[in-house]
Amino acid sequence: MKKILLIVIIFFILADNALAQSGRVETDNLSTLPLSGFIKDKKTQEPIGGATIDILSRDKQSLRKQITKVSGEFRTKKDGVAFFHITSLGYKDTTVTLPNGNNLVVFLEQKPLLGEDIIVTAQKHTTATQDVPISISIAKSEEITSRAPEAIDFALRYIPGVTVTESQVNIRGSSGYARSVGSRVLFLLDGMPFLSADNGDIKFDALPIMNVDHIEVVKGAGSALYGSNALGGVINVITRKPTDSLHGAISANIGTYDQVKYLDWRIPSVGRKFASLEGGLTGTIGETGLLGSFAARRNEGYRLGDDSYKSSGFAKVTTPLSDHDRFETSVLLANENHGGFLYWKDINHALMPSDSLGAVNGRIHSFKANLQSSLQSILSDHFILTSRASILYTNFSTDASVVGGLDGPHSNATNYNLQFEGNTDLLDSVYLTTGILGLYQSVNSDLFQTHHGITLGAFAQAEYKISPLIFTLGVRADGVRYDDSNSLGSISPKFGVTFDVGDGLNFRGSVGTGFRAPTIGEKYIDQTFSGFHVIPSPDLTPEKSYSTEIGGSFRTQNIFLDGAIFYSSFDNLIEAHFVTSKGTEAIQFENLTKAEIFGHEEVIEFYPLSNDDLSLRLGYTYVFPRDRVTKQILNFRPRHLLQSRIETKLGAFTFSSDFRYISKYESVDPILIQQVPDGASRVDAYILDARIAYKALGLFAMPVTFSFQVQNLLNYYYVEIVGNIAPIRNFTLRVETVF
Amino acid sequence: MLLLFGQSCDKGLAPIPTSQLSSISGSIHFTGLPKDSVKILALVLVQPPAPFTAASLIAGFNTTVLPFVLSTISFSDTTYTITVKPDSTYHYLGVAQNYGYNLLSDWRVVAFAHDDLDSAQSFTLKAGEQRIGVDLTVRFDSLPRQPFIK
Repeated sequence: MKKILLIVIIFFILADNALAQSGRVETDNLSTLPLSGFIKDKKTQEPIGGATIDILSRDKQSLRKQITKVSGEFRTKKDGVAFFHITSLGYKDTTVTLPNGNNLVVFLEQKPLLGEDIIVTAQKHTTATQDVPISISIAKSEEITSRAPEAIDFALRYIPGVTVTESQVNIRGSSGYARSVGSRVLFLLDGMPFLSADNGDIKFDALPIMNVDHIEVVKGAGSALYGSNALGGVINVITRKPTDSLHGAISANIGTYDQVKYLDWRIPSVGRKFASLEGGLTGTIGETGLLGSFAARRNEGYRLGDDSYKSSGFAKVTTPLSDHDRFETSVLLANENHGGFLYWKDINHALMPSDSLGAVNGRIHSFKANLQSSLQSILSDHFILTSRASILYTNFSTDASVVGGLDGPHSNATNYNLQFEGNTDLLDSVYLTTGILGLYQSVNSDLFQTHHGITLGAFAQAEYKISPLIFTLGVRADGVRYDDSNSLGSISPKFGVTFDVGDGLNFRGSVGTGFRAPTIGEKYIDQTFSGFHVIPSPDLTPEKSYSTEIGGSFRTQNIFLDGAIFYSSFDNLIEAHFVTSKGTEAIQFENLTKAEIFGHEEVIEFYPLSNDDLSLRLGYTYVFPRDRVTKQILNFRPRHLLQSRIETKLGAFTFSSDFRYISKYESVDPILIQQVPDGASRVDAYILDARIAYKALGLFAMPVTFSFQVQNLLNYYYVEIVGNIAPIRNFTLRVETVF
Repeated sequence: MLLLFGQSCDKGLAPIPTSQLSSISGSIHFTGLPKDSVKILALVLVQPPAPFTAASLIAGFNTTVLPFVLSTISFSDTTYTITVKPDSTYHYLGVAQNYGYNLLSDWRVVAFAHDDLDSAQSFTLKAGEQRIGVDLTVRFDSLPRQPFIK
């Protein structure tokens, strides 16, 4: 804890220095200069620091150059000036004329080259992907919604190097599957943690698909900036910003699962149909941006006892409080009611739950609510302070037993997050990111009893630019304490470097560290599942990891190549295993496994026509995951992962197809094998999806898009998790209109 | 890529052909009168060797996951047929009774198959083996030794 306090003190000293040296904008003696300009991202409205302003005369001769501050601001005299030519990595070059007044705001458009995106997750500020020393993948809203997903986890399955096992995300083999308890990938919603306080799992169904702008995936240990859970990477779901003018969208999906091939598997009473309705509206009143959406989904499922009802709502408000302060708040509510299917009865009854009576009648209800706010304050030319707070409440309950009337398991859990983050460019070549944060967790559950946890952390990261190199050095300290138990601490350093060779060629290298504090669920669970008593493990310590990678990328107007080799080492991985307790066998979570993962990943994106009329993407990830002690292959890690996508546009039609190959898990949890009849049954997975979309003009000239898609076109039967056949072939008709 | 698409047509997982399935069948007889309530009677086929607790049995029932086959039967003579996985060892086949309101503890086994010793006995069936005539007799006035540890 002393180390944390030290870093907190350093943070405040740095912040104070920044203010002292620069002064607030209002008192800045430069304010007498005739022209003040701001450069901002057109899409995110975020200020763009480090942009180059070439100040031109009427005959477009360069008079002088300036670099924007971290606030995106620049100031210059107007004499002889006619134009400003603005360049910034990751944005289109833009030229504007000198305005009549003394203020100028220029919005830059993103992405002049393939794969040259602007992201916020990797360095906690807007950065071009090629300036980041670690592998990044991005899924954009157009691609996400085109697949008509029921939840965001479906979209993650198409990102190179990412697999999803039940609700647990696996980046380059980092996670495996830990019974939905704990996530070795940190999941963020607009930069704030979105993991439940009890299980530490991700509530995918709550996320507003219609309002997701894009998803950023940072691969590799990231605890130096993000703290606990960023063992294998960080996923940040970025929601849309309200638009200036009124816009709306509504979409409806209706579909059905196909009949299974095998008579043994058919269950006439399962409806197999699904439908959803989503709608949203956004606009700006005065200077206040508003955005809202709702979604309602019904899925009869393709398995007995696996149907669901889901509904959710999302709203966001953004408003400037002053010229230098921007406030944003959002609220998310989601409700779900689904059947209790957990595992199949056996391989000959693969779509029937092991206990059909309980699965059908013992329904699971869950509710999630998330409220988060942020205040971005430009305190000076050189310092931006972002304050964030969030409350995530999750609740689930299971119907009383169908026989006997006993209460089923239930849990109420709340996370309270508070973060302060500073971004400063005190020196032209050094960009400093610092922050302090606190997390309070409260759990009340019959599974985990009543417990509280508190986490304090502080971090600092410096990016030092000596063109063509950018060095990144960072460290974070975290302390975690549950109830009155001893504190658990972790220091997580990182180092990275990027090398811009020029002509679209970049190299990167990094070493990062990660840790994951055990969840309240893992420490305190005391319940019998599946015939096995799971007992508490109060002495669990954090999992640790370090990862290193060397990679490079090459981009032109029509091709993007990226490759990386990586190595990760894990210590104290928490696994469930059998112990003898009070004379009987029980299951307990313990810090058991030391593991290592070696691998490589290649991604190719190709636009042969130099536009988006035809695009191809291919990603291949190889991992060799093994226990460092036993030399056994780790559970639930596919060694080969291939993801490809092709899309072509012909007039008003768009055709696209995805193909995924996931090699068979070489090893799975032996306890699950004991629990689940035929639990060892698993195969390589070959999944082909295809879709066609037609865009037309509908009523009042509103564009309407009709699409038809088939997922798992080959009706291939495979499992992602023991005893669970993954979705069989299904057909979806989607109608969407925007105005 | 073509090779991978070709592989996709293999359809992945499939049920075990009926000819390779093993089954066990027989009848269940009841004698005597129960000393207490019979809330639930169930035929149970238990595969995992341990743990063996009434709580684990019922928790499996309650949380929808069963490490065994369990199907509710009526309180009268009846017949049964169960499909079992070949070459797998099952710890015992029996009839279980829930006799009280506490689903976590109020259970006993009231009959075992292969009950020469009136206790649990493991067995394994070969692929395609149809074992018939495995009868169970529920003697409410002479209950077997319990495998459960409360």
